[in-house]
Amino acid sequence: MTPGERFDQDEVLRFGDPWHGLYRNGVIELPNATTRAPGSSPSSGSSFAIQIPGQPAATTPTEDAAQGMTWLNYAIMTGDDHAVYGRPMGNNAWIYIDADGVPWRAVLTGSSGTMTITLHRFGLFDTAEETYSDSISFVWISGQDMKVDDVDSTGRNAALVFRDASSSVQRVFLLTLSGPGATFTVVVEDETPDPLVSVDAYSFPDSIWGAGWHRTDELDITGPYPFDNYGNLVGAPSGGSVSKALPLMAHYSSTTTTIVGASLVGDTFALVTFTTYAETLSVTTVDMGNLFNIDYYYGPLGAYFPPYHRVTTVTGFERISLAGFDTEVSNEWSGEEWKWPPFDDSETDETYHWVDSTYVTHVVSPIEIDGHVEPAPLSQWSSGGSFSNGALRGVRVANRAYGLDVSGGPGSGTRFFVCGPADNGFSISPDTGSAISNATTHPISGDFVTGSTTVCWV
Amino acid sequence: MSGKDLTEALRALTEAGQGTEAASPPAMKTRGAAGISRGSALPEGGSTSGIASPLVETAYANRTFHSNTTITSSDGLFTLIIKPVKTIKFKDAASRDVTIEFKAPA
Repeated sequence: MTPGERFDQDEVLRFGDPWHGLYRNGVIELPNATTRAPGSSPSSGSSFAIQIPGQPAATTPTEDAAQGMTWLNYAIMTGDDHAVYGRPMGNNAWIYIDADGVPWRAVLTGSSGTMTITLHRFGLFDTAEETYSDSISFVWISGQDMKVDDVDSTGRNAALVFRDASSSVQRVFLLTLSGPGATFTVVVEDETPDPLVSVDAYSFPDSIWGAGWHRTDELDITGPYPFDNYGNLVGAPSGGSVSKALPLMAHYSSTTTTIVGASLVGDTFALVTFTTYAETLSVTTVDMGNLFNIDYYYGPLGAYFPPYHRVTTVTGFERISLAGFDTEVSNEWSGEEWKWPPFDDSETDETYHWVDSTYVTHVVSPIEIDGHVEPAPLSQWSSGGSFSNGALRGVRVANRAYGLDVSGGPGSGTRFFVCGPADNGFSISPDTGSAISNATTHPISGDFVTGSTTVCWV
Repeated sequence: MSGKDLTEALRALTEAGQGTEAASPPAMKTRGAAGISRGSALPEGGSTSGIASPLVETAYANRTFHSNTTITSSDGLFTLIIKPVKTIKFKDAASRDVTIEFKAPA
């Protein structure tokens, strides 16, 4: 179109995209309580604001509002394919507002040892393309996929997250663009925590780690003694025989924190973390009158052992922290086990698991997380962070929405909750988690919505 | 004058003298009673002023323009560059030059 050719005599009052609302069930829900088919459907619940600093406020005339229009002084980029005005640019591209307030399409590409950002002038019609590039040294690692997890409102900051084939976060970077388009610069800072997975273990002072007894050749028995890291009794006399049980009272906790993504809520960079906490209390009682029983199977405890009974309970929580907002569920589990049980396998049901003819475990209470009970009793002890033989994981649902899922095992696919930076939604029962399969957070208002199909603020 | 002509003339004079009103001339109006009126006469073919339809633009290239103006979408992302028309030149049906001048948009 030749400039001036089409608008010689026309008056353009407003132009842009006035169709804003919640995309749900395939339509945009407009503020006048009507719906409108979108130009194209968002690929996910990710929703980003594109805000030019100082852009004048926009007002919506009554006659436009009556039609469901809303004129905004910012644009919205939707989906993880970064669609603007319904046209996807790709996950590796976004809109950069330069230091002069001019919009550019920034495209990230990589080659061996280099990361390059190329700017393309955005929003002009019938104008020769104007592009500029800047490159930095960057180490790409085979097997790690990069994803632009979030972009701030000016596109000057982008969170780059690298995940391995199992979707576990490996590296996180904050990419910053600055300056006018023609002379812009790119900087990438490594935000990967060290260590990548943080484990904090604690032993409560009421623990009694003693678990072994010593018997001299003269049959004098002393103990209990604690084990060292090699399984030797600490403080016991040399020579003679040793009988091992389990610690009489093991009381300890473990806090494990992993990274599940990165966000730029309110234009502030933050890692999204998943923390699982488990406090374990195991109380063991032994047959003090039969401390040196011969273990014919020569199991893990050694040649001699006292018959014992151990009861273990595990309590804790799983938490996702997104932009300083925590969402968590509690968990609890208990079980018991015997060495030399006072019964045989003909007297037990399916909740008893025989390891060998002298060693049996029994699930007293299947693990329960926020009302979800594992679908099948487990034969293994839980130490937190697991559910029905599956691993509990924090997963990215959208740029500002994360969920707690089970990966693997018979409970695979269970979603306990989905959360945003200011709100969350929980499954209302173990089998009806589909309503929280999808979620979206409005990039300006923070309004958080969940849905069984794709929802997205547009 | 023949006798018939004379008779006819006498009859006419007699009827006039009997005063038939419809046939009388109107009374003269008083001075100043007449309203204001103007007359005009349009020129016929071959006149030398005015515009004859149709007007046909001489050439797009002959247009002149005001300085460029821009219109931006409410979100600021998209910009239209518009050059407002200042003058357009025409020829009318009589090949006379006609120019339309536009004001710059406010």
